[in-house]
Amino acid sequence: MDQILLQLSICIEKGRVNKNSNYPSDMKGMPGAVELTQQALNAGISAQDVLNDGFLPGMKIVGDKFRDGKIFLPEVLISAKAMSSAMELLKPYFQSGEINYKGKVIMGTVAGDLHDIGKNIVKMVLEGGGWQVVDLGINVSAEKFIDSIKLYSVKVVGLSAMLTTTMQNMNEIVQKIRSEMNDVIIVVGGAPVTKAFANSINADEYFPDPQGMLDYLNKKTV
Amino acid sequence: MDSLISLKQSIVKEYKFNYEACTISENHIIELLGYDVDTVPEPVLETIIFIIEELPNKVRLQSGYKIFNPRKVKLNGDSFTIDSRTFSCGKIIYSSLKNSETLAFLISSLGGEIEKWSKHFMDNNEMLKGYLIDKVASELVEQLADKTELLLEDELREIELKATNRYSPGYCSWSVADQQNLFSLLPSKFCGVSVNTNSMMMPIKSVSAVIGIGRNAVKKNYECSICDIDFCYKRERHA
Repeated sequence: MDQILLQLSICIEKGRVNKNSNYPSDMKGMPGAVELTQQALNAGISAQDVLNDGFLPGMKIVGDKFRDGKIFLPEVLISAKAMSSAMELLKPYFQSGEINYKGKVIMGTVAGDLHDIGKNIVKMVLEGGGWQVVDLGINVSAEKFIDSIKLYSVKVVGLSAMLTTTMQNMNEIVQKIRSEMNDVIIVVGGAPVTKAFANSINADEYFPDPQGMLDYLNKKTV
Repeated sequence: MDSLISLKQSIVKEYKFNYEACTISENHIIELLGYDVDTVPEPVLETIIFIIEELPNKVRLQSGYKIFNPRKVKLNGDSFTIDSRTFSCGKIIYSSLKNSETLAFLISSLGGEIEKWSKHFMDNNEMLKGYLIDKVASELVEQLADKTELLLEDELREIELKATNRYSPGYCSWSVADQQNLFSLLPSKFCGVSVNTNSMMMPIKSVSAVIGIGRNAVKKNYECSICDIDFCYKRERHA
């Protein structure tokens, strides 16, 4: 791997945003993810390689450590901030089509539920893993999910619920999506949601953590 | 039943607290996150300090309780009834409440500003701040409920009554849907809190709970081992 991309990957893993960042203290004065991304692009490295060989390896290490219980969520968020700050430089390349996402996913918190922190964290981890996420926000109706699935032509939709009452709304939304389209993979999650509940409502997958969903998506071609 | 003579009618108390009434410490939040003072990453510590400094300007602490007239309260099977409204609290909670002579509902809230504060950071690529504000707020509202429990216990002590632990809809197998009934028995917007049609409290950073009251009511160490809900925040708080 190119030295710049290796350094970029380390900065994302360690959560070093830019050269003015005080964190990590042992990297003070050194360039961060933002400068290294710019350096890589200036050096003629393709934006796709910057994403694949700089961003994604850094976030993968973080995701694996989190899944294995070696770090806690705040450290994932620190790394994600470094990644998303540097990602701003890649936005034009996404828009021009020079970089391809791994795929597109729709996510939303189900109708009646206003909790969004869990959903936002999953979104951030998926984006850090190279996926485009269409975030429908909170309190999302079945109709809005269905319309968005059609509009964005996605094959995977993620539903979040944080209350046992809104899990019932999740059930209704899953049934309505199923009644309109059979080829969409429906993933569910949220604090009170379980694998057994996911099975009972005919959802395709349930993951207790963001990395589980990312690993699953990376194995799928969607 | 002498001590219950003073409880011939329901008693409603509502309080506003200064932020200083609660004590959120950096170390406590660090521990809640799973770290210790030696391992907590610098940005996490800095953010916790920032939040604790700003917190007094972002919360409006309101709390209160309603102690019900004992004649309106019935406990049977794995449920209780107040004023003909039945609450399916489940076996775990019922076993703690069953010797109560009456019940109280407790409400605590931080107000709505803190949610907006967290969301502001979430929406502006500051997810660590947004997440930690949410975490700190969850602990603060529990501390406020703890404080209110103590006020209730003080009041009960004067009439020689005791209180059980508090139990909230949505936990220990008690359906969160019972929030509708719970709030229907309280004054409108009690402590500034209401529930939506999905039984979600607004503002979100609020606590509702039932407490058993009686001469023989017992407050126990929290017993998470008798419940199998992994996600419960009480499991984390009482670990």
